[in-house]
Amino acid sequence: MNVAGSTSVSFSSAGIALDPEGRVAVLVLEQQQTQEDAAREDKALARQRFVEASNQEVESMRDKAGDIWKGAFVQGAATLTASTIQVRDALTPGRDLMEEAKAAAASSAAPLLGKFFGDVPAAEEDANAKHASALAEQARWQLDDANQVIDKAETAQDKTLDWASSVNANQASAETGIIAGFA
Amino acid sequence: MNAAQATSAFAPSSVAPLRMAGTPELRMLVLMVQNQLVQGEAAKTDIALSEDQLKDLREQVRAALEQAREAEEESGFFAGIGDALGGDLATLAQVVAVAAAAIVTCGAAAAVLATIAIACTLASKYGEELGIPPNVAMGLGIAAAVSMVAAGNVGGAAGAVGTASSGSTVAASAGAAAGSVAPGVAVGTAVSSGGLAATATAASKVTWLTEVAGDVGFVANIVAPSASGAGAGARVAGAYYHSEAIEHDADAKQAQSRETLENLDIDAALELFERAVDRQLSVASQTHQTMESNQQSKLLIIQGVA
Repeated sequence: MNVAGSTSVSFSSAGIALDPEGRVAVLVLEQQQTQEDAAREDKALARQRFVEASNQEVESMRDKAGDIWKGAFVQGAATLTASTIQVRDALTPGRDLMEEAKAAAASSAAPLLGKFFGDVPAAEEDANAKHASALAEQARWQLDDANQVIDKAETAQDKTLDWASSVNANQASAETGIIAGFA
Repeated sequence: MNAAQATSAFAPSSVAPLRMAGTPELRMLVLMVQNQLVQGEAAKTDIALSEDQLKDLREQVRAALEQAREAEEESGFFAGIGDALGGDLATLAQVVAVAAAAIVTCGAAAAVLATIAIACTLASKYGEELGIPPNVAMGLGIAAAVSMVAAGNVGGAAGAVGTASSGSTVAASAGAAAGSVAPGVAVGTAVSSGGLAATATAASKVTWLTEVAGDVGFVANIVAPSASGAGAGARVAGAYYHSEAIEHDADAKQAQSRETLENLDIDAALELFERAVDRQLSVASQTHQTMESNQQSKLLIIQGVA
């Protein structure tokens, strides 16, 4: 359960009979609650962005792994083809220039194919992963900012509560004094 | 921590419904206390659940990193085999094949020059590992090319280009591509130095050497590409394990992201619980003061009437 997403409390001054000080306290509380609600929405959005960016980063890393494997496989296949042609040429009596040319071509093309199918897309996925990591970090900062706004709103609510309590205490003291005077 | 247990005296189930007498402010405080109680209980439950999930996630991260480390070790092992077969062994076999081809073509004197060429090529290729300065390594490559050219085998010169390219000796390839010297220098030297008997002995030795060189060249021409192919296979295996290591790193990254979220949830729940407890204590204190004041008022009224 994510308590941060719990529903907020709303006070209606019409439902509770309040004197002016009480109504002011309710107004302040509602205003702080509105700010807190907005900050919670921002926090939820930032959390969602963090999750998406993290998933994107993980996905890019997995794609990079696949590209490295694919490039190595292609390069290895080309080298193996060149080796097979060379062995066949060595076992065959006489010199076959065409076979030598094929082997040389396959051998030369192997590293190029490895780079084309492996290194280049892997580097691109690496860049995507780094970009996603930066986005995740940014979302985390937004989460921290939203938490700070929520903390400030709740601190203001606490102060309002303390103020309302002190007003209530003063009223009680005043009533006691009046009664003592009559007595 | 058992989140199901109510640890506060003001647990939601034990608070009376809102029909208590009191000023409006007092009723508002009671409403807030009830709200804080509910949130506090929810926060405790959330913390307990997040702690369990956090333990699982930390274990997942540890396991994924361990698997990544093992996969990288396997990758390094196969990459080493690939370098040894496809790099060192294949290069050596190529050089031997080229030298043998030179001997087959040009005879005994070429054997000496071919040996010099082999030594210079290998020294130039492994100059860095042997601690040879780059300029000296380049000079050795040039010496290898000159030896090949002096052996008088155009095919040897072409092979030196390929060997030098794979061994990264640019100077050797430039020297080898410059041209070749006419063959037969070694046989001509043997004829001019002695009589007919000496010539026959030299010729038989050259024939034997040529046959041996031919066999060696045949084997080397098979070993070189075979080693290259085996090296490529080993490198493919190394790349497979390297990709597996990256996959495990991705798993660890995913678990770490979830761990971050759980930590944020725990922090938020802890703050909520702390705030709820503070408010409860504050309101309890204020309620006590208010009730005390009311009681004093009533006492004074009674005393006044009395």
